[in-house]
Amino acid sequence: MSYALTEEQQLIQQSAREFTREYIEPIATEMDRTGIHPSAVVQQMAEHDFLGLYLPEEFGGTEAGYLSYVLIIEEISRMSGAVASILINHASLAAYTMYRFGSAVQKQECLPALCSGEKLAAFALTEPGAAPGVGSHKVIATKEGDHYVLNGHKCYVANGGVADIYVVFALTNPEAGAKGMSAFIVDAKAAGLSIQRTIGKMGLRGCQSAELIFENVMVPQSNLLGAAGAGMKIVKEAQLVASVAEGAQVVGIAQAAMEDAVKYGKQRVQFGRPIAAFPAIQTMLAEMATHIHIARLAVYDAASLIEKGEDFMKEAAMVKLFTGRIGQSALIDVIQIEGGYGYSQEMIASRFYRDIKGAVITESSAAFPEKVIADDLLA
Amino acid sequence: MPRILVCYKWVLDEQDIKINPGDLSLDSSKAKYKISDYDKNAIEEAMLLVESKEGSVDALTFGSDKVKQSLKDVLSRGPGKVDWIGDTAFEQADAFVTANVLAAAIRKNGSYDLILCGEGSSDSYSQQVAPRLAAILSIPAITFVQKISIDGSRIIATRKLGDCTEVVEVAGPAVLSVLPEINKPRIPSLKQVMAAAKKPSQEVKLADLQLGAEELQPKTITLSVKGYVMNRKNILYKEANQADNVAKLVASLAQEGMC
Amino acid sequence: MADMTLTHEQQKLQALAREFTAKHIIPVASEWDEKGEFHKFILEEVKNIGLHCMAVPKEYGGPGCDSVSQSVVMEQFGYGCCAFATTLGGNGLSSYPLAIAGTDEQKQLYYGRLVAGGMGGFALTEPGAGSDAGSCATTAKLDGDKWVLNGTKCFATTCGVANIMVVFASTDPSKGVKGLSAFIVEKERDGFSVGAVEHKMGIRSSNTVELLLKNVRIPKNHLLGNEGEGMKIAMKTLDMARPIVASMAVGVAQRALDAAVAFAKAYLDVNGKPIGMQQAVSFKLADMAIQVEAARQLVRNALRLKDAGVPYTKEAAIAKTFATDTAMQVSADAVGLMGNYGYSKDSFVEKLMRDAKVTQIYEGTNQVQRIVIAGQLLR
Ligand SMILES: Cc1cc2nc3c(=O)[nH]c(=O)nc-3n(C[C@H](O)[C@H](O)[C@@H](O)COP(=O)(O)OP(=O)(O)OC[C@H]3O[C@@H](n4cnc5c(N)ncnc54)[C@H](O)[C@@H]3O)c2cc1C
Ligand SMILES: Cc1cc2nc3c(=O)[nH]c(=O)nc-3n(C[C@H](O)[C@H](O)[C@H](O)COP(=O)(O)OP(=O)(O)OC[C@H]3O[C@@H](n4cnc5c(N)ncnc54)[C@H](O)[C@@H]3O)c2cc1C
Repeated sequence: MSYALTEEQQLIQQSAREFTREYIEPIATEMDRTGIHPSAVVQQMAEHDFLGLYLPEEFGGTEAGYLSYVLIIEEISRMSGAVASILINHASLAAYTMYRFGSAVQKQECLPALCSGEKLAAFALTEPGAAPGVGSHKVIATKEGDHYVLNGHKCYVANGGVADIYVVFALTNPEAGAKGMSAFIVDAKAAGLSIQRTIGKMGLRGCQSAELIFENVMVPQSNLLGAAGAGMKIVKEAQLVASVAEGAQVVGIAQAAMEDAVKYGKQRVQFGRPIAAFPAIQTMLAEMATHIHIARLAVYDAASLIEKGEDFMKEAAMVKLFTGRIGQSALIDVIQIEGGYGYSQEMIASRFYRDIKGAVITESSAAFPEKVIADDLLA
Repeated sequence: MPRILVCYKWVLDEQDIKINPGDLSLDSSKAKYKISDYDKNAIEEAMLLVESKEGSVDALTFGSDKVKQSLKDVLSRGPGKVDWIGDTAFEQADAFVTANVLAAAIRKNGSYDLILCGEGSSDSYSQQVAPRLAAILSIPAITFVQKISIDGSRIIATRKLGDCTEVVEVAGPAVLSVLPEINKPRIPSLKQVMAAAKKPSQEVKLADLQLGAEELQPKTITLSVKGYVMNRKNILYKEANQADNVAKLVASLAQEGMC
Repeated sequence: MADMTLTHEQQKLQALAREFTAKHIIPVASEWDEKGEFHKFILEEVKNIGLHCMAVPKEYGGPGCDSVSQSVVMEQFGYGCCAFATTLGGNGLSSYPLAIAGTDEQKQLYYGRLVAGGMGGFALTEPGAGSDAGSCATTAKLDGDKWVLNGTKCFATTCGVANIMVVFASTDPSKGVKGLSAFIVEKERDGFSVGAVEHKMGIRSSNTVELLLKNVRIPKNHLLGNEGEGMKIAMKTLDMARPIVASMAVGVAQRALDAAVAFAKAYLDVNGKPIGMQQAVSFKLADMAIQVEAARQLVRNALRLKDAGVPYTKEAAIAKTFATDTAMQVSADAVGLMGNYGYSKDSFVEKLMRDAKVTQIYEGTNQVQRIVIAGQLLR
């Protein structure tokens, strides 16, 4: 790795590595089995200043920069994609949105608690419109005096049910479609907001997903994030910022999986030699190593742009597009290299296989990477 | 309000060192550096002592020109200041030379109530630097320490000796070398990492320490450093009957004098 | 919709299998996957319609289905649940050595048990002998008029519940591959026991176990073919079985495609339009369909060659590789397209993605298929 990391960044990376070994490694397998939110780990992350690490000091952050932040995500992901997801949803999606689009008052009110770990945040965007027969559950926000009243369902909300504060997207003008969407800060304890259920997932188990129900939830107008109707713009930017962190998550998982495959390939003997001696295996390893390397450079580059406050949309989308492809194929190959044994639930590769898919999902068409890149090229 | 000094060594991470299968030479080309493991315990112990008592912790290291890379790392673990000596003399230094250099730096730069070392370094583990340092400074040395408390100018330490413990008390200043079980070093938080950049570090030139040539002349010369490998005999017993295989295995172990 | 390229008989069988799948497999597949227990009761149901031992010839009381018919049924079962299809596929696989090398007496015994409702198993793989099946350490020694078997087999599908099995053992370890022989072993033989059960990432309700053979004595006439013909029999068996695995894989891929299409029609974007109207989505669906259809036709092609009695080794290996790669790709694409919903246990596509991976591994990894294909090309 020749990407020039500063001394601080290297130390932060080292810290995160020690942290992961100390606090995450002992619980990662069990957490995958039970799917239970690791609140002790989150508390430890707070104490080590991971939760607000790229946010400015004036809001309780550490101001270590976005590149340092993705370095931490990468390290954590080498052991647990789920813990990385908890952090990404908190820091890149929810906290970022408040930081970038919140008013001075909103930032002063919300961010310090998110940085200190007193509160965990979540980003509530997806609606369960897809489940057959469920119909539309769009969350609608109706203005009443100095309040908005929210009604509807949100689904697959990561950190849902364990978060203390939600960034919720709702239609303030349903007729206008995308242009009528707005973002709100909603307290988890708000009357009328309840958790319908938690939702099982293929992987990233431990990063709890839940379905939220809004029944006449009163949200003060002062909790509107940005302008009314700015929702889609906010979603796009927040998701692209998160894409870079998810790219680091993919890189971390794939790197750890590759190292596992290398180790296995050197030990497993068939036809009188280690399978790693077969060109077919070497080709798979060489390709994934190349992909991971390039992906990492792209992630660091996009993170640097974010850190410097430069335009990062296209580069972030490229990270999403590229890591989406290579992460998936790396894990398909890792299991292939480990053969029948790799397919066993007891092998770490099978967890990485399930986890990496969650890291590469694109949820919103607003941040559809091909579209973002093409729009930039054609502008 | 004790003033504490911690000596730490900046060593190659042994996990990264590979042994070349041919001549058994060590390949450290891909090895990264780290603070020697027991020294992290020493640093942590110093921090714990001042946390309950106030006081200050400084760090001191002697190394090659690479030792500069260690400054932010050590400062992120708590000490308020670090003095460092980076010199090529380090490459040949043995415990004798190391202790001479450290002692000279300590004399030059200040007085301490307590000097902490790790029990041995992660790389050479000669366990000599701490006692030698004490001898040169003419102060007491306490080794194999697994517990420390400070009461005014008195230092009370529990030493681990084989199957018993010994509690000793000295009037400071003194040099103590600590065992890994004394504590569990904390992982620095990111705020500590960021704050490290703002803490002072001071280079001490070896030339300014006024050591005589003889004091820099190692007593021990390292002739070679080699890895050792366990060779497998690669014998496979392939009899159809397992009992035959076992019999052959036992016979060959007996032949090697193993049973 | 009937497939007009099939004969009338085959169409009828396809309709029967489709109905069975809809009625008995699909409703319970997820539940059994979650539990990871053997789906015994589906097996009981399939016996009622006589599709549990399709490969057994009519003269031995079986349905004597031709290869295309078997494939058509297995595609439907794969559509419903890859684990269940694996159980039935394994049953068929275990009976092929009889068709290749069995005497009339041996067929009476083996087929008789299958027709009566017993399950068959095929135990070739060992801890040290996966792709390199020839390096088998299980031994068979003649003692009077009995063979005595000793060793450990692993990854043996259904063998924890099977009634009768084909087990491979070396009759002459000094000859390596040429010392390998095939035997019929009934489960009630003394010294036969089932070891550890494999906990897998996918096809979780298929039974995969270790077999322990300790001085298992079987009659002399339980040797299939001649001593030393084991490898030849195994290879011919796998030739026959590969298009069947490929058929299951086509079923998995078709299910993923259907799920993605249904989702694309039902899921509305923020503007209230089905996402299938976006070209980015509709072209993806088209790509998936191209692969699924190509895979299906490759399978049919290999089987028609087989039923015509001409060499089909290369075509079978090509079909297995392409169809299983398709199952992998299309199931992963479906999860991606369906986003968080696809990744959750609310949908079943995440199961398809876990199941699909094994098809690239068992019955010869896709690297081994390339060895076979290249071997044919370079002869
Ligand atoms: C395999 C091997 C075996 C050896 N055996 C012997 C032997 O038996 N007898 C012998 O006389 N020599 C021996 N040596 C050589 C020599 O003692 C050491 O290499 C020498 O440099 C002492 O340092 P150490 O790292 O062993 O220190 P140690 O005495 O093990 O270190 C103890 C503590 O002293 C402090 N310290 C050590 N070095 C520094 C530093 N540079 N800066 C700041 N603090 C420091 C740290 O707190 C450290 O934890 C051996 C060397 C090798 C490689
Ligand atoms: C769920 C499940 C069910 C199974 N059911 C059965 C069953 O019923 N009966 C049975 O006998 N077996 C069964 N198997 C075993 C299966 O056939 C083996 O897993 C498979 O043959 C691969 O062997 P392996 O897992 O030991 O991988 P290995 O052979 O160790 O292969 C590891 C990797 O090396 C590659 N490789 C190996 N040799 C070469 C080479 N020469 N050139 C290039 N690449 C190479 C492989 O492709 C693979 O990627 C089952 C396996 C599973 C997972």
